[in-house]
Amino acid sequence: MTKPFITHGNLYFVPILRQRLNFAVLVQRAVDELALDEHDLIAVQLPISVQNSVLKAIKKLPKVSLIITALGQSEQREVFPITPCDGMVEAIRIATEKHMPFKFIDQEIVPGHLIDRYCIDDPNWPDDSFALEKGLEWYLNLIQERLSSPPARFEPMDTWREIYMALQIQQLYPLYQRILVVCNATHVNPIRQLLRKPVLFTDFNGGALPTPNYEIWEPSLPVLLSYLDDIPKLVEVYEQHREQGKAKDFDKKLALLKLLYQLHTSAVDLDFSIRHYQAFTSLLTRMLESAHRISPTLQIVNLACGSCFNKPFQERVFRHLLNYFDQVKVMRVGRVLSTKELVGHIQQVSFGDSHRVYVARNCSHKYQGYELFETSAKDAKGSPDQPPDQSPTKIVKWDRPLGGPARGFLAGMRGEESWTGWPLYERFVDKMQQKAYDLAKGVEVHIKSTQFQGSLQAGIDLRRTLRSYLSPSPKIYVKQYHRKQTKNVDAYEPIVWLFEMELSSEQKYFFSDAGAGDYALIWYYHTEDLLQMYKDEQLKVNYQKTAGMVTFGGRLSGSTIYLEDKLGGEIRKRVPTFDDFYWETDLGYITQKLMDQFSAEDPWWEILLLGAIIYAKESVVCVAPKEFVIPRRVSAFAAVKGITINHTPLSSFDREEKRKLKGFYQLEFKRVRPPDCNDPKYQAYLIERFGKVMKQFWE
Amino acid sequence: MAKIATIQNQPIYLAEPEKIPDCNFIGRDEELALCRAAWGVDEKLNEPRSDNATSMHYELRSDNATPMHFRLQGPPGMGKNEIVYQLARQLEIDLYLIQGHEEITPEDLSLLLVPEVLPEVQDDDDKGIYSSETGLILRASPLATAIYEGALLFFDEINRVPERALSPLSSVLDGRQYIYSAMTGIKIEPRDDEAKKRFRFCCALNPGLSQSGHVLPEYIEQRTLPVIEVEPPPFEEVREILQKSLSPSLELLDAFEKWYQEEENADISVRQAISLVNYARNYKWGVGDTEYNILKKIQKHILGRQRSA
Repeated sequence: MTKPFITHGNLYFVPILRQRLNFAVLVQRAVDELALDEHDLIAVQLPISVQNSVLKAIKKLPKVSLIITALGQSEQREVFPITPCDGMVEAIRIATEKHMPFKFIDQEIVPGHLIDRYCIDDPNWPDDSFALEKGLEWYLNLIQERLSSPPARFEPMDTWREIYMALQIQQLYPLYQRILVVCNATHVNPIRQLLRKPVLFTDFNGGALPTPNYEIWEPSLPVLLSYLDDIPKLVEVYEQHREQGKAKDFDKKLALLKLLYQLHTSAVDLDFSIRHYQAFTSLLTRMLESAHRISPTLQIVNLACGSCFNKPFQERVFRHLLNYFDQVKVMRVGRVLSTKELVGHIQQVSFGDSHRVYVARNCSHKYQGYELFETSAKDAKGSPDQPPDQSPTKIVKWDRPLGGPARGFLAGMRGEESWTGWPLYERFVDKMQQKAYDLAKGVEVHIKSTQFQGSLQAGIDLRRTLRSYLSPSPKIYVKQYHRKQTKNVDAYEPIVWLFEMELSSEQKYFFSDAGAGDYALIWYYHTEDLLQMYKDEQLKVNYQKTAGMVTFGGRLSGSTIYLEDKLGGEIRKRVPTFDDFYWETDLGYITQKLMDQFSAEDPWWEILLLGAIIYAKESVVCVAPKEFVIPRRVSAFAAVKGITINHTPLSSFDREEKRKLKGFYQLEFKRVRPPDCNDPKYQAYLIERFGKVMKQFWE
Repeated sequence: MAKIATIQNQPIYLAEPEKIPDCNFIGRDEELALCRAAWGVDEKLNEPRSDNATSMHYELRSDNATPMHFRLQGPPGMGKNEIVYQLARQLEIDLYLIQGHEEITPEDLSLLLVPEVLPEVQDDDDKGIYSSETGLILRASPLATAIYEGALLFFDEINRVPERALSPLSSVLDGRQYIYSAMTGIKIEPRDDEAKKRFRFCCALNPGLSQSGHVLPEYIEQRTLPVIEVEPPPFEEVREILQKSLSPSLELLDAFEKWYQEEENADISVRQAISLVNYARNYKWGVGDTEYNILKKIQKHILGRQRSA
């Protein structure tokens, strides 16, 4: 391991860049390696006048505070952010925790003198992880050129400060065994040069400055985010490492990969395999190499996530990585807990875009900022927290008698809480139903073998050709496909969806559901319990995996009036109503027409298929894995009823389609249920109100 | 002259690499960067650095990391093939291409047994006749050739290919890096270590085809990560592409810009934009009218009926 300090006699310098997590780790390493004790001193490059405020703010950590300084009636303010990712703050924290002596050695400055100072905006600024990887001296040499000229140096102020600090160090030098000097990278080499000189200029008149006023403020959200290194969540993880005494071993990339792995394994609703995670780690590493970086940035992580997982997971990761303890909880991009700030959207911006001027004594390089597009107070009032045309206090009674678990996820009441399915799910299922009907139409393929006449057609018929080679006049035969369109499937026929055939057939329960009115347009079979995936003060999102289901009538969304128009008197025969289902203990809702057709030991998919056959006119579409064989008993039952079963392979649906079909998201929120949950106005309200939350589940 | 390789004592005719068209590639910096990251491509160190990204030279990284096989996804006409051509141009490595379709068989991806084209036989009267005898030869697919030679392989429209035909790909897309021909019992592997290090695979698909059941099997989907979405480029890039590829008049370009913005036609593909402007240019020469009116008139012929309303 490289040395985490630069040695100068009994002085040990840790050059740092402010608010960069890697330098806090370096300070930890330096203290650990030097095994500092009460005979040693930690000197930090901060003015003595700010000491009490800094100690107060440090006590609040991990909560981030800003110490704001003003001199007299001056309008200019200097900012000292107190964050766990700052090397100087880390040094003072260690000193106070270990009861070691520490000293603030920077010169007092009038904030007004800093107003012309600005930060470097350099997109090619070398990644500071190299300081950990290659050593401090190596990294210091790499950035030396950038540090030795404006805007990194702010003259003549910086030269005065360096002389002052060198003098302070000279005075402290004989009093302690060793001194660990934690100061900005800009000043390390000039101070070392000054210390080599025998006599220093000593005419400093500190008393000429009025006493500064210090206030401790809570930062606004964009400011807070911009002070928390590249990825705020990693600062939180660092803090956890610190509590466990492992801060010196903290590695940003490893911590990120661990975080992503946890998120990946907890995303049970998104159906990822380990290959997705492997692809992510490989891509991230390569992208970092291409960008000549070691530690990840939010932008690179975001891009790699989008390419190797999917959009909802990318959104989930983005929000998770922006979180920082209770101070930033991006529960939804729309409101940030604790600050209660309403945020329309968070966008990561480069420093160059933000046009902000920072009044700080050291600002070597600003890496990134965050722009929050806030909803105005007026907009917030009109924000869709209120359902249309309904008083928030009005209670609508759930008039359906309940037997067993409450029916219907598309609408339900529990006390004052409503729950609903995600309206976009219904629209998606409708699209998939249409696809299933189209695929069921399908084609029949016949293969014919013909003699080769110049065209290879569908390839050589190897078997016949080789056989022909044994005959006196060998010939080449090729295969030829003949395709024939099969009969259309009526778009109101039931579709049986069987997703998880490999799961144990141990039965959990069947669940019927309403589209609108009395019709039960969907009949589920769930094998897993409802999992809570998200919770904030207004909304819970639950998830349940569906092993199989039957959809009736060809369309879930919208009103059922169209079905009544299309099917006329047949509707009662082809679409079940709620009254057609009864509650069977330990089994769930079963259609009454099946009462004599099954036993509780029957596999669940047989029960679904039998139920579908009962409501079919001519055919049932069965979307199931290719290798699925329609059970003999079901085929016989279908034959008796004169129903054909069209088996459509599940592999005709891509991964995302399958995931969305079998993933049932239930939204629970404090609001009354409207009389008609299929009312387009109500659905539009749900989408507008919860769309931002649902982005992490539904693209 | 076809190249013949001897693999497991069998002479096998190798496929021909693609002829990459010369063109000035424009834009798609982010997509190209992702592709390069996936393939492990670096800027050539010894080349003079150029500010123009399109003229930079790249090389494959010489580490032992397994390359990733990326998948380009996007509607037709967005330039997916062009991205791969650009990578091949920058790398200066042979590119082999397989155009996916519904009737591809597993043999089409490995070794095909095909009738041999026998040389013309001269008879005594000096009249050319063909031999009546037919022989069979083994021809390597572009994929098998790319593996053997250590080249780039681009599998276009991969989701059109039946699942059964794609099964031999699984051994290509993981560390094994070979393809097995079940018909001949021959395993085609890279001819040497250099070829093994050089081989890269990528594919492209149009997700819109999923509605008709053209989807990638999950085991191929998981082996072709990362997914790089190729979406419509910004208008400035479309304009530059039109300028470079067709050199239309400034009036026509301005009229196209007006049409593009007024009609909210930002979702048209680059290919459609090129066709539209090309047709408008010819229409102007042949029939005449103002550029904007021409675009309004001809849009239905290029973009379909729904836009003419």
